[in-house]
Amino acid sequence: MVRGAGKACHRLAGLILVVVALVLGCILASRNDDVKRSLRARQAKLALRDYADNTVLRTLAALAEDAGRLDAAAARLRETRSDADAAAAVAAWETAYGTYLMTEAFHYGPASWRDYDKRLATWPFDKVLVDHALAEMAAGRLEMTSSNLREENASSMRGFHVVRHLLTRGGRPRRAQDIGAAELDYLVAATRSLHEESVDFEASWRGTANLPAARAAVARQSRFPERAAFADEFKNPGAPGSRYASLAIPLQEVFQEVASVGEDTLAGIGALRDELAPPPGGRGYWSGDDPCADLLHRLKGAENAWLGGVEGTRGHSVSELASGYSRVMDRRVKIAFAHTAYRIAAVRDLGDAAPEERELAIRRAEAECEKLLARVAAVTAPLAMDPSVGPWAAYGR
Amino acid sequence: MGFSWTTTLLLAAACGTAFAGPTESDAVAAFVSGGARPGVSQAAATADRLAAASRKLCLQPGEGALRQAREAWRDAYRAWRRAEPFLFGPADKLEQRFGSWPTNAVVLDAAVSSPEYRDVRGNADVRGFPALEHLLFAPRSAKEATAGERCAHLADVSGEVAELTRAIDRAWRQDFGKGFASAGDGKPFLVPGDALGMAMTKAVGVTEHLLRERIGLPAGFFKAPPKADYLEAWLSRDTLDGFKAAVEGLRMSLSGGGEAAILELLATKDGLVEKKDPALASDIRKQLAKIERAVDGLGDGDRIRRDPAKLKGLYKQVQTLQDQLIEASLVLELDVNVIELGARTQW
Repeated sequence: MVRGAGKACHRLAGLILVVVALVLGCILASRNDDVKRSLRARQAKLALRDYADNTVLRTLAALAEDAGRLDAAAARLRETRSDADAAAAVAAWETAYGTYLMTEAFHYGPASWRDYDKRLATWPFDKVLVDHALAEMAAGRLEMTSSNLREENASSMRGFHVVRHLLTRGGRPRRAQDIGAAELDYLVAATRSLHEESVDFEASWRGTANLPAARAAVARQSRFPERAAFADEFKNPGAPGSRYASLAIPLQEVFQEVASVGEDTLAGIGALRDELAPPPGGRGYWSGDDPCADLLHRLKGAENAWLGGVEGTRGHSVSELASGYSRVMDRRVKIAFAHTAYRIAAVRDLGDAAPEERELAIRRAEAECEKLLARVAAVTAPLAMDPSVGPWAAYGR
Repeated sequence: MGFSWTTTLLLAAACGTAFAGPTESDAVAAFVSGGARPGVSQAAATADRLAAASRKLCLQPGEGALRQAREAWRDAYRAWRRAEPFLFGPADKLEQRFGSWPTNAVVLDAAVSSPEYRDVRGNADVRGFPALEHLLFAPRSAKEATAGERCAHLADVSGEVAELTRAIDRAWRQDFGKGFASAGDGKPFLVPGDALGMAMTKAVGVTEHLLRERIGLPAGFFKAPPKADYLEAWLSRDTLDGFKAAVEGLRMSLSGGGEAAILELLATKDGLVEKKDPALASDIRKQLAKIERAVDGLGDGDRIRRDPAKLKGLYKQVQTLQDQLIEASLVLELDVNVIELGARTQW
């Protein structure tokens, strides 16, 4: 009995020793520089994975779906020629364009070498050529199709801004009866090409082979070349087949693009001075209908990139990496995103306020955006230059 | 019955208003009226009295006059330290001219021993409060204190300190103070939070100054041996009172103005991202009191002079306060200007 109790005691002591050794081992390992570096590299890899999966791929899927809905709405309008369907098409355009603006946070890689920004939203579009094409169509000398638009014509004759021009005047939906038959045909061709090129944009990140069945069918019918999954390269830097030699490079892409969107947003806020002031000769076709909403969408895209996904899907993120470097600075970046958006929305909410009031609101929004840029810049260098993600300038290896 | 219902409703409405908490604009106004203006005005008044007492000592040298000048220095020094959280804006450029410890005693003694060295009397390390302390407290008698060129320098430096504090007081009462109090109109502050951010930056800066120069260096906190000579105001044995004045100044900055103070804002206002934090507001109040108790527990200035390493405990308490202030700046979603504060970019 006593010997049994002694044995149990020894076993317990042994167990305690093992646990203590394990705990001590973990503590010592966590203080080891190599272990720390490896953990940080792992975290960076997870951030890139979730950025690609939850920000890029989800936004591109949403863009393809929204563009598909816009395409369907345009087809319905051509069929019914009702004001309700004209308004529905405008609403579908607004949604799809908002989603497109969110893709600006990753206009590098495929977007850069295949010019999706121009293919989807050349601005300003070529009104003279569009009017000419419409006249030719009305005269029966030209039949406009999506493939014709994509393959035979300049990108300045298609895209979101052309579609908006066909659907709206002065920021309001056109009356269905005012839209001519040629315009409706052009609209359908333009929205179809938008849908197809949005799918191609998605395919370039996801891989044509990985598209869901419906969008794979669109890609097939559009006769786009088979696209390899850029996301795989992006998520696996250093692996064979990836043009990224180290974690630092895709991370730099993320930071650089977030900063670029921030800079564009800052310039866009400044441009509100002209855009929101009543223009002497009335609004031009090149003017945005809701420039504040455009800025908010753009900013949301950058925020999603920072936070590791569209809302509801966020996982690991560069924000998490920033927090590992400085929890305080990471919170300041998040606060700056919220304040910039709040101040832009405040400009929009002013409506027809006095010019001085609007000027003050614009200056406030600019100041918040400048803070955002400064805070992002403050954390970018230490994260992109962390030894765990190097080599830092690995192009051309 | 009807009357009592009305009264009840009015009371409830009044209570509702009281519990709604201040706005950022209220907090800015409270900071000015309950902190900056009284703090800076007291600094200006005591600096004036120091200049007058210094002149009197030189005109009618005597032990009584020296004692009065020393008391005036203590009052002015403490008021200056109390006013530190409000020395920003126009005071930014002037603050350096108040001097920093240790004064260059060798050069200072030489500079006031002969007109030959008059040129070096303009050097920053022989001016300001540290130099005045040396001029008033190092000599063993009034005769020694007024010997040679000492009086000329004493009058010059105390006059400059008085002039500087008056200029800051004027700025708070006039253009800068008005612009600050009306923050949000774009002249020059775009939103009230910009003004509060400045106040919070300075509050964090006061703790940083305490940690680095006033405690860290003399206590040997940074892998260097303790340096008693770096202790602020050790000659006048006012080191510990100087610490307490700093805490009082921070309290005026954060709690001045009562129900509309910055800490009330922290306790009651949700931001766009962050949630109000009454516990943090309470912790900051407690931490200020804790630091005061820690200072009291240090005994007297002589003991600290003999063993400045005893300040290490105080360092940790101030560090805690600094962390709390940084957290408060986040909860209030204020911009703490990291460039102004130096190297700690993680703020």
